[in-house]
Amino acid sequence: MSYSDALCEEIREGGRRYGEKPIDTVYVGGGTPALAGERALEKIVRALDESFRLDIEEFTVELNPDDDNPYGTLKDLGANRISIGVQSTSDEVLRAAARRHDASSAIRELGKADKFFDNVSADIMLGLPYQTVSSATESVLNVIPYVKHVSAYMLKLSEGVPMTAALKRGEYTLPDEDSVVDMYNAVYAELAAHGFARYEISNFALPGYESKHNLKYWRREEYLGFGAAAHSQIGDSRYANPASVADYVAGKRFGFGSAERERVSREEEIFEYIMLGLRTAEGIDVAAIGKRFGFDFCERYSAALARLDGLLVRDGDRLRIADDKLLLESAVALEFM
Amino acid sequence: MDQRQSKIRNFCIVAHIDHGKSTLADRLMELTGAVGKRDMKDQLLDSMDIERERGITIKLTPVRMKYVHNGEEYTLNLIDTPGHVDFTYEVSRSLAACEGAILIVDATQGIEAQTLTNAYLAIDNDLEIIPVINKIDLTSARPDECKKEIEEVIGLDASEAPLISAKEGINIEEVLKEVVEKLPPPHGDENAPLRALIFDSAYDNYKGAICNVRIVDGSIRAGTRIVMMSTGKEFECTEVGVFTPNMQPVEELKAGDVGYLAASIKNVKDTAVGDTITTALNGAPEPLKGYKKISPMVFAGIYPADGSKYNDLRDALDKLNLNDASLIYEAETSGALGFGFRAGFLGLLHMEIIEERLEREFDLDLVTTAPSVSYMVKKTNGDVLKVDNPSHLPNPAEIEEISEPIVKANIYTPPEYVGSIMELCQEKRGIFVNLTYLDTSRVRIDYSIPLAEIIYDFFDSLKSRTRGYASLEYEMDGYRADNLVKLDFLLNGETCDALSLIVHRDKAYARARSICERLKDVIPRQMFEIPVQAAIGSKIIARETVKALRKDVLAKCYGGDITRKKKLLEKQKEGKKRMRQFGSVAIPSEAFMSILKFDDNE
Repeated sequence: MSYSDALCEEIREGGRRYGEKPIDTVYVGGGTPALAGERALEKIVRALDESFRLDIEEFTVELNPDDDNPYGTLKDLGANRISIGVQSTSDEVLRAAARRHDASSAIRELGKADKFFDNVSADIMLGLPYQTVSSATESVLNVIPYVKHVSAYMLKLSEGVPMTAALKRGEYTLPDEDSVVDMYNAVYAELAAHGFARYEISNFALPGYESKHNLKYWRREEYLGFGAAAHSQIGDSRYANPASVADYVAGKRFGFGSAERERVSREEEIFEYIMLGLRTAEGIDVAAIGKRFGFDFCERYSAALARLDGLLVRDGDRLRIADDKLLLESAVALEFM
Repeated sequence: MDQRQSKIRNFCIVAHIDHGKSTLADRLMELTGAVGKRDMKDQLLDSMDIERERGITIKLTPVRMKYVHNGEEYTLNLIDTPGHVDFTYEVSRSLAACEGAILIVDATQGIEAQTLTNAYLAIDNDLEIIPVINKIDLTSARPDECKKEIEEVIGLDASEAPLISAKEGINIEEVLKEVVEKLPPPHGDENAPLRALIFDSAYDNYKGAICNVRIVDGSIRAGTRIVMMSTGKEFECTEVGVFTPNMQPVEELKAGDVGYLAASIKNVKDTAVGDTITTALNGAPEPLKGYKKISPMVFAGIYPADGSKYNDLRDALDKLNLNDASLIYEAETSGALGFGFRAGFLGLLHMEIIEERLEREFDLDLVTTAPSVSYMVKKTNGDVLKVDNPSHLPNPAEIEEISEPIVKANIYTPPEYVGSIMELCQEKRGIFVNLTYLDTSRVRIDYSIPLAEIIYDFFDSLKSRTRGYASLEYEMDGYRADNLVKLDFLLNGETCDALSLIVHRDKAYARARSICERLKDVIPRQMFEIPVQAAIGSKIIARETVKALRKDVLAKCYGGDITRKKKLLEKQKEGKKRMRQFGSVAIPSEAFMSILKFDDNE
């Protein structure tokens, strides 16, 4: 069986179980849908359409800056938002980060996407080797003409990535923490000057172009994930598919129905609402959380709130991290753990 | 001389580190059948991990071996010696239990620093010395040069020194022959009243405190009432025996013998090393020479890293104390560290060993404060206080004078290092006393130095400035008043009691600056800026700032990531738990030891 057939099978099974739930956002990750071929893409979208009550508001496809990206096909299939992994528009930085594309192809692909789609987003990385505050700012300035949305992530290396190995061999060094924060602040200022509002730590959008799909994660809503390594969250449970494509095709799918679900306790759920919500500019609704779980938020967390005096902003029922302290999100969340 | 004693040889082995002391001991035991090849390993494994890792001996393990020479059976008692300045007194007592020593020299490396130190220690204790040249199996061996060195540098006749390889088992028999032929037998008076020298003691769960003894005069058997001559405490001897190397009861120990003695003694503190045991009835009028009451010189706060483990720490200290009479401790409370203990040690190494044993054998995480000495404080109202915790020092206005413990330090060195040693002693506020040329190759320098200066890094500096050739002995020599002040450290404006220390006023500024810098480096950035200040009284004399944390953020946080991210946060929380919360500041355990470390330029 091909990967796309396995995927369609999983989608249909998902439909049988959860077909009644309304679906209004779809996100296709990975960055290389062209590899699947137009027919496979068509099959997948059809499977979705036949299995769920789709009422699509946002249908995002993630793309790398490759020259065979099938923009037209994607548009025909219903995609209305494209996210391109630009990372940087400095060739030196891209080479060190072992990216296959260069700056000119990234800009070219943004231009193409912009022709087909109104809603285009670019991913920018901060803290890459050789990156400076000015090259990071320049990358943002270079993508702004084509996009309505920018994600600016700070690099976090994990073990087993080629870049980590190269770093350990001393082939290059990474900018220090202060420089990364400086890059972030410079990028933030540049985006703000161009009308982009920060609605989550790493996400900036022109008014109305916030990612509806990603907001669901931060608001801790339900989602179904299909494909290798996909995760689902339904009710009080989270499910995961195997990361290996071979295992997935061989039948280890339907993660959302598997016995190996992770049961999220009430305490964990409360913490997740806080941890995820505090990443956003809207913050958390303390009245809603209190009502949902049956406690008085300010009373339950009085000690944490006292320790975090000066870091949090209260605005009616909403509580958020102060604008200039949002990068301390983990440290703040920890106080609620 | 009596026939029995003429068949006994009591000896120890001395050597530079890695010159093959333990290996030779193992071979001797193997050859005499004291230990079978198979048990050999077990025996090695029995000794403490810390001893083997650090290459030092802490607990002494004597062993009795039988050896037949010219048709006569000899009893050879090998007594091990600890190897560090903290335990100088114990070393001198175990040497006092011997008549002779084997001096091992590595055939390639020749005489090294500790070869000299140990050889002189043996000479000073009037031991007959047999030089042995080891590792002759190596192609780089140069035994003839070694012999020449031994003769020229130490002044021992090395012409007949056995050339051996302890590792390969070459010529081991010759060493045994030399021991029998060259070392003098003991010559105690069997019929005189009992005098037994305690050279070590250990606690046994069934037998109580066990004394390792050398019978100098008289004899002893189970059932005898005995008395500890330093304290007058009486016990009934329940068992005497020898080490084979396991404890093996015998009927009687007589003059010249080395063995052990049990007497249902509850506390190892009653079996002081160096004390003399005699009989309660018709006992010896005079004890053996050289007994000293050992008292702790270095004090430090020991706290459980996790405050709830206080009782575990107390139990662990109680257990260690059964075996280590020199460890003392009492409960104390710190504003920064909560409930813990103030413990006294023989020296810094002793302190490190106790810490390591607490952590390894009892699985405890500890926070230790910087070591301090015990100060005498004369108050303006005439009261005199003993202060071994700097934070307990009275208000400066109430202090008339602070005196600190002084040691008489004897440093032995080859002449070429005299200059740099004197410079070091001067830096450490030492007062020159005397300089004696013992012979062309050895000088003794005497200084009167504050103990507080000795316990920090004196020994290490001495070794590094003399390439290891100088050795240090010191003994307490009363108290001396000096211009001492208490240095406090403030974190975010609050004095952290566990960081306070007492220093000489002239050194206060430099110390304050370097410790503030170090604290700035070890305290992680937190959500707000933390001023780190040093103060004498209310006067701030140094300041650094731990800048506020600017970024503490998890990478993208999308759907599937939530579980993983939460785990990362949990890890972060665990790390935070290992730190001490002082007001709003989280302090890692290392911070409390950071005031110990010196910069080279200080």
